[in-house]
Amino acid sequence: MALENHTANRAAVTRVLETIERRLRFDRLLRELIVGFSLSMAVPLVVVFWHLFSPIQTTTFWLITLCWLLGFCSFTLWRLSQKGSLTQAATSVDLRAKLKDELKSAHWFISESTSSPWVEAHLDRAARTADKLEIVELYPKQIPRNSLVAIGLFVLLIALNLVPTSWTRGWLEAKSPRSTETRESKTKTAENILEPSDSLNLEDDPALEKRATQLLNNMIEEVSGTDSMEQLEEIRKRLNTEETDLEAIEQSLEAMARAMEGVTQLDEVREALANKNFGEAAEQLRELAKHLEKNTTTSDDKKRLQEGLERAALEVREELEELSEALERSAEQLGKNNFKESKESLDEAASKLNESAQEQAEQNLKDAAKRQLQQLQEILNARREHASQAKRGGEQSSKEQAQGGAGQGQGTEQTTARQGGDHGEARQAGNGEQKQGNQPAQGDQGGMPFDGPTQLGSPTELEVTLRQEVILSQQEREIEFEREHEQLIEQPSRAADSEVEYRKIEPGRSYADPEALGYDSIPWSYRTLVKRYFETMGPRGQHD
Amino acid sequence: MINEIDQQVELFQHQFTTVKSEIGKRIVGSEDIIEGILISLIAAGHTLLEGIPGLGKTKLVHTLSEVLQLEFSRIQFTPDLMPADIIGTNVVQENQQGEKSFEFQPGPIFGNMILADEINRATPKTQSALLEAMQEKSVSVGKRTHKLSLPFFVLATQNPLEMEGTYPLPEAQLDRFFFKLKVRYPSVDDLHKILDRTTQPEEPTVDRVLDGPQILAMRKTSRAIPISRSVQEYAIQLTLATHPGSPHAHNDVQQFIRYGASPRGAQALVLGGKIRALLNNRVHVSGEDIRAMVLPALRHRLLLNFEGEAEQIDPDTMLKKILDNTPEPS
Repeated sequence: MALENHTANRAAVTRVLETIERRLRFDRLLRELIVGFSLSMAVPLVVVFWHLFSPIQTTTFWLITLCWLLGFCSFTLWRLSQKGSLTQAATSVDLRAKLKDELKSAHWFISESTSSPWVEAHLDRAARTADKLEIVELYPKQIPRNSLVAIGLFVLLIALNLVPTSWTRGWLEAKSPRSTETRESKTKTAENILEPSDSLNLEDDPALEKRATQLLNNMIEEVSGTDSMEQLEEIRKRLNTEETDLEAIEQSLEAMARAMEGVTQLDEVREALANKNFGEAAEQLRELAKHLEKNTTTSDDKKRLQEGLERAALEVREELEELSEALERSAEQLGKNNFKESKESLDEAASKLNESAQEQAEQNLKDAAKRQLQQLQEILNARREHASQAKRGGEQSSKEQAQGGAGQGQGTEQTTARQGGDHGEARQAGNGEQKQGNQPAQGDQGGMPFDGPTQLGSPTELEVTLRQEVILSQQEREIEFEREHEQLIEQPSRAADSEVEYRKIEPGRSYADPEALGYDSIPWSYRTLVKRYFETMGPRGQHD
Repeated sequence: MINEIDQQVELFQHQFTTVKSEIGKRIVGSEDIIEGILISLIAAGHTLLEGIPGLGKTKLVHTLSEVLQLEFSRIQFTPDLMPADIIGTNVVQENQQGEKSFEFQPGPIFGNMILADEINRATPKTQSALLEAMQEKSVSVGKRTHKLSLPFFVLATQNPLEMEGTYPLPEAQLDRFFFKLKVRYPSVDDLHKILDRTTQPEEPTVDRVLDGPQILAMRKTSRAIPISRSVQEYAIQLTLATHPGSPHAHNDVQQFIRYGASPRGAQALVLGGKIRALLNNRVHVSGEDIRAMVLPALRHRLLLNFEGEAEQIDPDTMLKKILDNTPEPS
C-alpha cells in the first residue's frame, strides 16, 4: 500500500511537471518564432525597399526569398527540436507558485530514485502541492507583445507592395520599376525599328519576320542583352545580304535621263529621273504613252522621240535590262507607226520604272532599318559597357583615392579617359587635391532609359596621355633621403653656426635608461633621420 | 511512516518555538539572534556573539542556560587566563595512605554549555585551548583524552570596539564557530520593553523546557532532512564564490578577499538550511534556506587582504554581493 502511494506520488509529480513543460515549451516556441519572424522580416523589407529604389531581377528576388524561407524554416525546426527539461519546468513552477524548490527537489529525488522515509514524506507533500496547482492560472495563454511588432512589420511589407505608384509593382511580381519604363521605351524603339520592316514586306520572308518578332518579344521579356545583340546582328547581316544595288540603278537611270536631253516629250521624264523620282518618271512615261495612243504628235516629234528612246535604251545598263528592252521596243514600234504597241511598251517601261521606284524605296527603308539596328546595338553595347565600368569604377576609385592620398602626382596634372564604348571618365589630380567623377562623354548612354531612337553625335576622341608612375626602390629612396638630408641639415650646418644659445638641460631620463631606449616611440620611417640628427649633433657633452 | 515524520516535524517546531518563547520572556528583541543561537545549538555548532557592551549578550546566554536543562559554565577570558584554567589540570592528590598521585581536575570546559565571555581578551594560546574541545568534543591533558558530555555548546562573546589589549581570534578558531551573530542595538520599542522588564522589582522567570537528550533528538531530526543536488550545488557555489581565485568570485572578492570560506562554511550552510526548512514546516531544503544562512555562517570565514583591511570592507557587504551575483542552479 505504501509502495503504491509512493509510486502514485512520483507519477503525480512527474505528470504535472510534464504538463508544465509542454506549456513552457509552447510559450517559448511562440515567443521565439515571433521574435525570429520579426527579425527575419528584415530580409523581405530590405528587399522591398531596395526594389523600390534599385530594381531587383526576378531571379535574384526568388533566390533571396528562397533563402529567407529556408532560413526561417530551419530556425523553426531547430527550435522545435529543442525540448525543455522537467527540471526547468520544476524550477519555473517553484518560482511562479512560490513553492520554495519543492517540486524541483521532488523531481531530483524522483530522477535519482532516492528513497527514504523523509524523501517519501517530501514526495507526498509535493504530490499534494502539485495536485493543487492551477496550471492555467500560473501559465495563462497570452500573445507575446513581440507579436505586435511582427504584425506591424508584416503590414508594412504588404503596404509597401500596395503603394499605388506608377513606378512600383508588387513584390511578388518583382519587376523593375525603372526597367518597366525602359521596357516600354524599348518596345517603342523596337516598333519604330520594325515599322519600316512592315513595308519591307517581311511576310515575304517568314524567317526574317519570325526573327524580328522573336527579337521584339525578347526585348519585351527582357532577355539578356547578349541574346538581343546576337539577334540584332543576325538581322542586320540578312538585311545586308539582301541589299539591292540601288546606286547602280540610279546611275543607270541618270544616264538614261541624260540620253533623253533634247527630246521635248521626254523632258518631264528626264527631270523626274534626274531627281531620282522614279515613280514620277513612270507616271510621266504613262502620260507620254497616252499621247502616243492619241497619235497627236508630228513626224519630227515622233522621230526625235524615237531617237531619244533608242538612246535611252542604249544607256540603260544591264541592271535594268527589261526597262531597256521595253524602251527599245517602244522606239521600234514608234518607227513603224504602231502607236498602240509603242504605248504598251512605254507602259511596260513605266512599270519597270515603278519597280525600280519600289526597289529604291525598299532599299531606303532597309538602310533606315540598318541604321536603327546599329543604333540599338550601340545602345545595348553602351549599357553593357556602363554596367561593367560601374563595377570596375568602385575598385578603381578606391585605388585612385589611395594613390591621391599618398601625395603622388603633386604639381602635376594628369588626365585620363577611357573610351569603352560610349562611356567616358575623366579624372584630374593636382596639388594634393583630387577630383573624381564620371562625366558622360559624348554619346554616353550609360544608365539612360530608352526614350526612342537616340540621336548620336559624331564620334569624338580624347587624347590620352599616360604617364608612368615613378616608384622608387629602397636604394633610390635612401639616395633621395640623403640628398634631402644634405640640403636640410648638412648644408645649413656648414653655412653658419647656430644662433640658438645652448643651455644645459638635464633630461628627465638618463641615456642609459633601458626602458626609454627600448621604448618604440619613433616611427620607423623617421628612425634614420633621427639617428642622423643625433650623429650630426655629436656625442653628449660636445655642445654643452 | 509519513505521519510519524510529520509528528517529528511538529515536535521539532514545538520545542524550538517553546525555547524561543521562554527566552523571549526575558530577552527583548534579538529574535534573529536567539534563532541563530538555537540553530547553531541544534546543528552541533558553536556561536560567536559580537556586539558592543550592554546589549545583553551575556544575559541572553544566561537565560538560555536557564531554559535548557544543561550544565552551564562561564569563563571570563582575560589576558592572564591560561589554557589549564579552561580545560583543567592534573593536581597532586594524597590518599588516606599518604600516597600522592596526580589527579585530573576538570576545568570549566567540562560542561554542556560554555559561555566564553569576551573571548578576544585572552591570548591566542589560551584561545587555542578551545580548539580541540570545539571540534572534537574532547580534551587532551597529558596522555589522556577526556570526552566532553553532549551536547557541547560554546557561546563566545566579543566586543568589536575595544581593540586595546585584545587578541583577534585566529582563523582556525574562527572557523570552528558555526555562526557569528552580530547583536544589534535594540529599537525604541524594544528599549521600552527592556526598561520595563529590567527596572521592576522582580525579573521575569523562565522555565527549563528542553534538556540534553531532546536537543540531541532535534539534532538527529534536522540532519535527516533530504537536500536535492541543485540546492547543495548552490551552497557549494556560494562557498566557492568567497574565494578570490574561483571563477564564481565577484570582482570585489578578488580585490579585497585573501581567503574564502572553508568547507565548514558549506556544512554550516546546509545544516542551518535544514533546520530552517523544518522551522518552516518543510521537509526539504530550498535555496532560500541556504541564502538565509549565508551571512551568519560565512561572515567570519572571510579573511580580508591588506587592501580590504585598509578599506575597512565589511564582510557582510561582500557576502550580499556574492548573493546577488550567484544565481541558484536550475
